[in-house]
Order: sequence, then structure tokens, then C-alpha cells
Amino acid sequence: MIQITNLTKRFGSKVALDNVSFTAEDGKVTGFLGPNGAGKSTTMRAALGLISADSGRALIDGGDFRKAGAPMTCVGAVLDAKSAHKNRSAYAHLRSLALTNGISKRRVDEVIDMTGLFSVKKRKAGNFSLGMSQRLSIAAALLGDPHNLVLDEPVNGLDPEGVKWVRELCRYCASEGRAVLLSSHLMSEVALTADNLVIIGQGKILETTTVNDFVSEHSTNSIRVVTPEPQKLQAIFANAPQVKVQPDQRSSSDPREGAVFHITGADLKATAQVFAQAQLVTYELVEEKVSLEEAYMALTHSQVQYATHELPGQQPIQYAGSAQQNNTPATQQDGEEAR
Amino acid sequence: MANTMTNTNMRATTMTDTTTMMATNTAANARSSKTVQKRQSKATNGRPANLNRNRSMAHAHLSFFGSIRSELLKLFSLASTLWLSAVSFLTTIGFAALFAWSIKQESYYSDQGKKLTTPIPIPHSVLFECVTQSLAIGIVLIGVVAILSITGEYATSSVQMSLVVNPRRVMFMNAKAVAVTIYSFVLSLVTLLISWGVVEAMLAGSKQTPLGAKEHWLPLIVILGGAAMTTLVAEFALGLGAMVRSTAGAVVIFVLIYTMATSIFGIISSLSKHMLWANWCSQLMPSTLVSTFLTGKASELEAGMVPKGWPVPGWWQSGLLMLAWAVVFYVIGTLIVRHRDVK
Repeated sequence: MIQITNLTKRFGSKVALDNVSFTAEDGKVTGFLGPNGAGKSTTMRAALGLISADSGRALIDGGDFRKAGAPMTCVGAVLDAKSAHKNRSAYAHLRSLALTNGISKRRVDEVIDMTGLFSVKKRKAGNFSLGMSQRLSIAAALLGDPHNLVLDEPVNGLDPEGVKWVRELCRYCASEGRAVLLSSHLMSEVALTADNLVIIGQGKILETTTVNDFVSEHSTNSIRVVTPEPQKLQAIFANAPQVKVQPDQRSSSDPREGAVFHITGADLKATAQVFAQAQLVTYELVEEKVSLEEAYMALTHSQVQYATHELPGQQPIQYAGSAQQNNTPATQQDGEEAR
Repeated sequence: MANTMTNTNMRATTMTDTTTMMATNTAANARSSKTVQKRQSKATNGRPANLNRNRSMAHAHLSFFGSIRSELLKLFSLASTLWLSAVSFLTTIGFAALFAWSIKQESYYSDQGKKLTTPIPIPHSVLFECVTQSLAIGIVLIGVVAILSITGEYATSSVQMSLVVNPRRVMFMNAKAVAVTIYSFVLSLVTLLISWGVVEAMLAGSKQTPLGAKEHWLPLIVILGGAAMTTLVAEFALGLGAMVRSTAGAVVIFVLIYTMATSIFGIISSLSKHMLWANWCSQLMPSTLVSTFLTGKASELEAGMVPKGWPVPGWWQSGLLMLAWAVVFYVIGTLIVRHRDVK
């Protein structure tokens, strides 16, 4: 179990970590998500004592990692794809790490076989491709059969088979009761692997949730409409506060004419019905699924604003709130699919 | 029902190891058994099933002895160490042979430069001077190996993993220091013994005067003391490397201090009569200390240039001062490694 409590760290005038707190539980894969430079790596390094925090603390299995009796059985870490000395052979690298903690040669051979490095174990790590380096880093992390895994973007550079393998490895380790802290800047990757979710942006924890909750909360559907009568469209939704109508960028698949709108919070059937009654001319009416990636982007890019529109007064036909009830089960269904 | 199935499934994966089974069962109880079963079956097909909990892990623990073995392996698994060692070994022996040859030639000439029919007997102590002076370049190369042992880690960021598997940074540095000590002492001892042998063999036919009454310790000082001085220079270099972190920076500073400092002080002292203190500083530089220690006395020519009344270190004081250089640089370097963030 990895417990991070009120961790704060400055590098010069830049606040790298601002009161970061979360827990990576035993038996769970905790996805640690944030854009580049959000503080994921800094947090992980601080937990391992590589960076000393200005305040707050990080406990691993209830203790300070720097005082662990067997650091390698306590934590296995992948901090960088290229973690070995470039002029040292893969085998010598792993063996040198294993020796510090009194781990046998046999175990070194085991992790080499597990990570598929057998044929290249005598080669210098500097000549490895990014994917092979990543496998070597993972091999190093597994050497001590650790109770906690700290993986900083472990799938970078891996081939699809390698990505799948890392995913299964994370799941398997968690099923064995180990704590896995997995960082990524890709929501889709974390959604497939993690149980819990910690989202960080600019050194602050933005959200601590579970993947299931995040999925059901954020994967709402939206409707894309292209119409030559934008005012009429906005008037239709004027009295439905749960519906957001925003102008959108025209994509290559859109018709060339008419204004493009992105409507969230409205049900497709009800919307189509209302459009027909209002005799709104539409060139396009498509249901779009909001991906997890977009939900995550919206969360991390806090500057994204939802513009509100001034609407003209009375209009004969309007979208009513009735569609809202239909909306909820549909969302859940989508959540399942995305999972 | 679901639970039983999970267990059966797991037995297939990890039948060899009961500890794993127990750990997995606890985990299975913790989460909903349905998901576990689904994920477990995934793991059975994939390679992660090989991840059996290794029984030997129960004995795994961080130890100083293990760290020393690790550092020795790190040192010898780099081609740069082997190349620098080979060059150090060969240049030392080469220089020893060259010095022996020139001394043999010199013995056929009088002080006035006339060719003699019977050569002047060579004092035996001169043989040891050859051995001592031959170390000049070899010792620098061994120092570079010591620098690389720490700056190489920072340059390739392998220091991260080194400090993850051993978060006790002082122990990490101490293990490095012991490894560097073993490496530099053994290599320089072997090199010095062989160059002594080469010098003796080359001058075997020449007439020699035996060692004086006060010079009986010379073989021991040159061979063992030479190895000890090399080790101290290597530790000084290691400390410097830890302080500077960059390979290029540390090597430049090391070479400046070790080979150029005395010349620079010499130039400063020649500028004016008030600059004679520079000669005294020159006496305290590592290369001067090493040579004073190994020849058993300060060079009379150089000592004469120091301002009157200023103390000139004798041979044992030189040894202690070199030890001080090594200790000061190593301690500062270690403290910096201990407190510096590793990004």
C-alpha cells in the first residue's frame, strides 16, 4: 500500500506538487493520470525517496521506503524506459541490481525469461529499442517479486503485445494482493487496466475516484447538428437548462453549409421529434459518444469554458425536460461498453 | 460457486507455490469473485502466470556486502573500465621500461657527457624512482575510472534504479568507495609489481650499488605505498565525481588538479618575488604529495623554492595530506549525493 499525504514540492519558484494526497490500495491497480508535466513522476520519485518533499510524507506499506529492510521486495519501480547504463549488458544491469538485495541469479534468469529478453541479455542496454528498454526496466522492477509496483508510463514504446502483457501483469499483480500504481497520460490505457483513478493536473489532485464511477459520470452522449437556422435551434433549447448547445468546429465529414452545433444532455429521439415539430431544417443530425479521453481532457484543461447563449424570447416549440429521464439509463449502457 | 471456480483456476496457475495461493485467495476475497475470475483466466493464458512468488525472496534484504558486490560488478561490466585499466597498466609498464633504458644509457656517460668504457654503478634506489615515476599517467586513468563509476550513473540516469534498490545513499556511496578501493589497489599493486620486475630485469646486467641503510623500506613504500596512494587518488576522484555529477566536468577538474596545478603554481610564483607562496601551494597538490611520499622525501629543488620558514611536508606528512584530500572530497561528495534530488 502506498499512502501519499499532503505532499508539497517546489523546484525554484515552480510548485511541482501542491498538497498531493491519495492512496494506492493493496489488491488494486491505481491509475495515476495527468498530462505531461502534471507532477506524476515527481510524486512517484518522492514516494521512493529520490526527491525529498518540502512537506508531507509518503508511506509504503506503512513505513518510510528509505528505511525498508528489503527495498526490492517492498517496491518494484519503472521510472524511465531507459533505466540502465547504456554501456552495460542487460544481464549485468539486472544482476547488479539483484546483488544489492541478495537476490539469486536464478531469479535474474527468471525475469529475463518473463520479459522476453533472453536472446538479447548479453547486449548493451544502450543498443536497445525503446520497447526493449522498457521491458528491461520492467524486468528490473519484478526482480524482487515486490509487494508494490510503481510504474511510470510503462507502456511507452511497447508493441501491442507488450502493452497487453503489461496490462495483464498489472491485473495479475493486483489480484495477488499487491498495490499497483500505474501512471499514464492516456485515459484509454488506464481505463482498461485500473480499478481506482487519481487525476493530477499542475501539481494538484483534480479527482480521486474509481474507473467505473468516472466512466458512468463522464461518458454522456451528445448530438451533432448542422442547420442553416442556428437561432431557431437555440430557441428550441432555451427552456431546457440541462441541455447545452455549443457551436462546434466544422469537420471534414460535415456538410459544407450551415452552422455546426454540439448538443449535450439531450436525448436523440426526443430531439429529433422536437426538430420535426419545429420544422427545423437540418443538414446533419448525428449522435456522438463522448470518449473518456475527452472527459479527461475537459477535466485537465480547466480553461475550457462552456459558453452560454443569450436567447430570443418566446418560441412556439421547445425541447422539454422529459428527455432527461431517458438519458440516465443510456449513459450507463455506454459506460459498460466503454469499459 | 464462483469462489470455488476461482480457486480451481488459480491452482492451475500457481500449484507449485502455496504462499502465492494464500495471497491470491486473500485478494479474491477482497474483491468481487466474478471480476477476479475473469482477470485470473486472462492471466493464465498470458505470460504473467510465470510470476510465481519466489521462495528465495524471504531471504532478500539490503546489505552492505551485497552492495559492494553490486558495485564491483557495475565497475567491471563496463568496457570503459577495462580499456582504461589496460591503458593504465600498459603505460605504467611502458614508462618504467623507458626510464630503465634511459638510466642504463646514462650510466655510460660521465657528468661531462664523455663516453665511458666502464659504466658508473647505478644506485639501486634509482630503480624504485623509475617505478614511482612510471605511475604518473596510470594513476590519472585509474582516477578517471573512479569518476566514471559515479558520473556514469548520473549521465545515464541508472542512478535512479541504483537508489531505488538501495535508498540508503550513504551506504550506496560507501559501497562504491569500497569497490573503487579494491579495484584501484589491486590494479596498481599488480601494475607496480610488474613494472618493478621489468626495471629489475632490464638493469640486471648493470653494475649497481645496493640500497643505503636508510633505504631498506623503499621497496615496500614504492609498491604498497604506491598502491595505497593510487587508491587515495581514486577516492579523491570519486568524491569529485559525486560533487560535479558531469563526467566531462569532473574529468577536467581532476586532470587540472592532478597534472596541471603544479605547473600553474610554478608560473604564478615566477611572476614576482611576492608570489613565492604559490610554490608552497604546489607542495600540497596531490601529485606532489604522491611523489614526495613515494620517493621518501620532498624534492630538494622544489622545497628550496618555498618561502623561508614555511613548512614543507615530509614523506609521512605527505601521505596524511593525501589522505585528507581523499577524505574531504569523498565526504563532501557523499553529502551532496545524499541531499540532492534525483530527477
